[in-house]
Amino acid sequence: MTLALLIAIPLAGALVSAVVGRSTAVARIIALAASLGTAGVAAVVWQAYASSAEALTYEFTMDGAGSFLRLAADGLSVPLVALTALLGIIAVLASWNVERIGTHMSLLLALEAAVIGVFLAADLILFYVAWEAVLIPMFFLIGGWGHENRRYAAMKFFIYTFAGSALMLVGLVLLVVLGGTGTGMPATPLPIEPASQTLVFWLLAAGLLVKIPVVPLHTWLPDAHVEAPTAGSIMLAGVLLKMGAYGIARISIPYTPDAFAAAAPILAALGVIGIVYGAAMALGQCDLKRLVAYSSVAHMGFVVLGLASGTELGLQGAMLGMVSHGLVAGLLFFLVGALYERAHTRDIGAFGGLGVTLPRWATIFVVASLASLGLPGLSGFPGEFASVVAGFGRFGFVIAVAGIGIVLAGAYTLRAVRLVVHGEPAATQAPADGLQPAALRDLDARELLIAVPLVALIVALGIWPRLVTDIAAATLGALASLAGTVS
Amino acid sequence: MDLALPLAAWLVPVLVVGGVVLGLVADALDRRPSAIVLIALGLGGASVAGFVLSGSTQPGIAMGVLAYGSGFTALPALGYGLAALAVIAGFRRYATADRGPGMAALIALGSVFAHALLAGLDLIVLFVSLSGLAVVAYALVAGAGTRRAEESAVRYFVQGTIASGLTLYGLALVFGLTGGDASFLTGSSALGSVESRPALLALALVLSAFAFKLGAFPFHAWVPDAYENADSTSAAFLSSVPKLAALVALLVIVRGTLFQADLFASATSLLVAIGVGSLLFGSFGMVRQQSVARLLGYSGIAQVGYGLLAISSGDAGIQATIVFIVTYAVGASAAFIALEAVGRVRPEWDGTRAGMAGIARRSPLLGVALTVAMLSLTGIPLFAGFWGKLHVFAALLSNDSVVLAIVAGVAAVVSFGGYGSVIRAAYFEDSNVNDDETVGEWGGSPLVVSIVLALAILALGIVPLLTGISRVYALFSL
Repeated sequence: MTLALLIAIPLAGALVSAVVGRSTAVARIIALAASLGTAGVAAVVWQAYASSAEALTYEFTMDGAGSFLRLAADGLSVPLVALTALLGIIAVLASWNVERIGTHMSLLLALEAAVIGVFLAADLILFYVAWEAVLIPMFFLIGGWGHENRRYAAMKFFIYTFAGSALMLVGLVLLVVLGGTGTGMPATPLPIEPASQTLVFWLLAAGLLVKIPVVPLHTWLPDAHVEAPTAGSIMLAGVLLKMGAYGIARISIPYTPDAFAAAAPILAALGVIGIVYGAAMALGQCDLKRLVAYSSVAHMGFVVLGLASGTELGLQGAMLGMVSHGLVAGLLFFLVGALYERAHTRDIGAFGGLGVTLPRWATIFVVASLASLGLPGLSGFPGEFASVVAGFGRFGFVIAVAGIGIVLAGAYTLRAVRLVVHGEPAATQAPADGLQPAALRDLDARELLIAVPLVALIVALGIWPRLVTDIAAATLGALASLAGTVS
Repeated sequence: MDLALPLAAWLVPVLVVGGVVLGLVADALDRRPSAIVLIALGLGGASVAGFVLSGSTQPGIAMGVLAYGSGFTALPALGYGLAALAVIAGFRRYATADRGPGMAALIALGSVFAHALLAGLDLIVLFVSLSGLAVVAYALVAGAGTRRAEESAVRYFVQGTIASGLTLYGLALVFGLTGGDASFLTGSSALGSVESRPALLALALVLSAFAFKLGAFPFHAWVPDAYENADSTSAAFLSSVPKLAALVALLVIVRGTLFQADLFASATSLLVAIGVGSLLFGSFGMVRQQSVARLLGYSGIAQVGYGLLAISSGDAGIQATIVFIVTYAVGASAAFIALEAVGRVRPEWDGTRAGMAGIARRSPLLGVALTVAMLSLTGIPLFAGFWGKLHVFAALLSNDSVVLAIVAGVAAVVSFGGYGSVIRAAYFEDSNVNDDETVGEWGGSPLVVSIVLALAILALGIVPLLTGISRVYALFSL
C-alpha cells in the first residue's frame, strides 16, 4: 500500500494542481506538499526495506481478479525511487517562478509519478505503461516551457524514444508470450531458449539503450536537454536516463541471461564509446547546458560498462554511478538554469570571473564540477572506479580506452571552470551581449535550499558510498549470480 | 425458425427507425431542431437499450439471418452511440441547414445498415447493407454542400460502383458454388466441398469489397478526399461506425463461418498484404498533410491495417480485432468531433494544422480533448488505443509473426509524426490569428461531446490497468 502511495501522491498533486493551479501560490503549495509527501513515503519505504531486506510488494485486486497494477520495491528500485523523490522536490523548487505555473507543476508531478511507476513496476505491461507515460509530460514540458528550438526538440525527443520503446513493447509482449506465465515479472528466470532470448534482448535493448542513451542512439539528448526548462533538465538527466539502465538490470539480465552474457562485450564497447565520445564532445561545447548534456552521455557510459560486466562489483558501480549522476547532473543543470535566468545566455565565452561576482554560485559550481570529473571524496568517484575495475576484470585491458574519457573529463570540466569562474570579470565580458556582471544576483535563499542539500549528499556519498551500496547489495548480488550462471 | 423475436433482435433498430420517421415528419412541419432532437433521441435510446440488452440476452440468431446478444448487440450499440454523439455534436449545423435533418437521418440509417452488416449472417443481407452504407456515405460527403465536397462525392461514387460490382461478382460466385445457399451458417459446408480455385476467387473478390469499404490499401484513394471534404461530424460517423461494422463482418466471414480452414490460409496472405500496405501507406502519408481532416483520413487507412493484421493472425486475433476496432472507433470519432469544435472556436479556420496554432491557449479543454484523441490513435498507454495496439501485437507475436509486429510498431512511430504535429500546432505554436473572444465561441456541443469522448478514452485506457483487460472489453466479445 505504501508503494501505491508513492505513485498516488504525485498523481493526485498533478490533478489538483491542473485544476486549481491558476493561482501561483496555490500551485506552489500543492506541488511542494505533494513532492515532500512523496519523499516522506519514499523514506518510509527505504527504512522498511533497509530493516527487513525483504522486497515490499503491492498488488491491486478487485473481486480476486488480477490486474496489471503490481508493484515491488527491492534493492534495485529503492535507491532510484528515493533519488526520484528527492529530485522531484528539487525540480519543484527550481521552477518556482515559471509562467503558467499550475500546468507546469502538474506536468512535473505527473512525470514524477510515471518515473516512480517505472522503478516500482513488477509487471511487464505496467512497466511499459509507466515508461510511455513518462514521455507525455516531458513532451509538454519541453514543448511548452523550453527555449528557442523547443518545438523541434519536443518532437525529436518523443519520436526517438517512442521509436525505441515501440520495439521494446514488441520485446516485452514476446517475453510474455514466450514465458507463458502472464504479464507479471516472475521471481525465477523464464525457460526461454537462447535464440529467442537474443531476439527479445535486442528488441528490449532498442528501447532501453535509446533512453540511457548509448552513443549512436544519443542524438535526441543534447537537443532535449538544451531546450528543456530547468526542471525538465533536472528530471531528464537526474532520473529519466536511469530508466534505461534500470530496465537492463530489471528485465534483460534476469529474463534473457544467455543473450545478456553474449551481448555483454557489445554493451561494454558501447559504454566505453560513450565515455570517450561524450567527454570529447563536451570538450568542444560553447553552450554550458550542452556541455553538461554531453557529460551525461559520458557518465551513463560508465553505468553501461558496470552493467555489462555482470559482476556484483560492476552492478554496484552502476548503481552508485546512477545515483551520483542523478545528484551531480541535477545540481549542474540547476546551476546552469539559474545562471541562464540571470544572464539570458549560456555561452561559456560570455562569462568570466563569476568567482568574484557570484561567489556562492561559483563555489557550488566548482564542487559539482569536481564531483562530475570523478574527484575521490565526492560522489562521482566510487561508482566510476568500481565500474572500470569490474570492466577490467571481465573484459581485460581494452577497457583502458575508457581512460581517455577520464582524462578528457578532467579537461572539459576544468576548462568550463576556468572560463566561467576564473578570470577577470570585466575583461571577458562581451559588451555586445549587454551583460552587466554587477547586475547579476548571487543565489538567493531558495536556491541555496536546493543546492546545499545536494552538495551535502554528493560529499556524503563520496565519503561513504555504502549509503547506497548497502541497501542495494542483496538484490544486486542475486542479479550478479544470475548473470554469472551462464557466462 | 423462431418467430417470437427477443427484444434484443428488433427493439434496437426499431428505436432508431422510429426516431428517423418522427424526425422527418417534424422536418416536414418545418421544425428542424425538433427533428434533430428526435433522431438523436432514437439513436441514443437504441444505444442504451443495446448495451442493456447485450448483457442480459442469451446470444442467438433471429430469423436465421441476424445474430444478437453479446457483441452482436453491444458493438452495434456502440455504433448507435457514436452516431448519436455525431448528431449531437453537429446539432447546430444540422438544425440550421436546409438538408440538415436529412443528413442526420442519413447518419441514423447508416448506423442501422452498419448494424445489419455487423450482425447479418447471410450474403444477401451483407450485400444490401454494404450497398446501403455506400449510398449513405456518398450522400453524407456530398451533403457538405461545397463544390469540392460534391466533386469528391462523385469520385467516391464512381470508385464505389466498381467496388460494388466486384462485390456482386464475388457474392454471386459464392452463391453459385454453394448451390444457392446464402447463409453463412449452412453455406460453409457446401463451400468446403467444392473445388478450391473458384472459392479462392470468390474470397479475393469479397475481400476487395471489404477493402474498399474499409478504405484499405490499394482501395484507399477515396478516404482522405472524402474525410477532408465532408463536414467534420459526418466524417466522425463515416470514419468510425461503418469501419467498425465492416471489420467485424470481415472477421466473422473470414474466421467464423464461411471461409474455413484451408481457405483461411489463403486469406491470411492476402490480409497481410493489404494490411501491411495500408499500415505503411497510411502512416507515411499522414506525416506531410497540412489539412488535419486529410491527415486523419490517412490515419484511418493506417489503422485499418492494424485491424487486418489482427484478423490475419488466427484465433489469437479474434479478441484483438474486437478490442482494436472498438478503441479505434471511439478515437476516430473523438478526433473528428474535436475538429468540429475547432471550427466553432475559430470560425475562419481553414482546416490546416497551421490554422490551429495555439488553439489550446484559447480553449484549454479543447486542447486536452484533441490531445487525448491523438495520443489514443497513436497507441500511447493510459489511452484506449494502447490496448488495441497491444492486443494486435500480442496476436501477431503468438502467431510467430515477429516481423509483422515490428513493422506495426515502426508504423505507429511514424504515425506520431502526424498526430504529434497536431498537438504541436495546438500547444507549442504561437497563435497567428486574432483569437478575439467576440468572434469565436466557447465550442458549443462539439466541445462537450469531444470531452465526453475524451473521458471515455481515458476510462477505457486506465480502468483495464486496474481490472485486467477482459472485464472492460468482455461486453463486446462475439
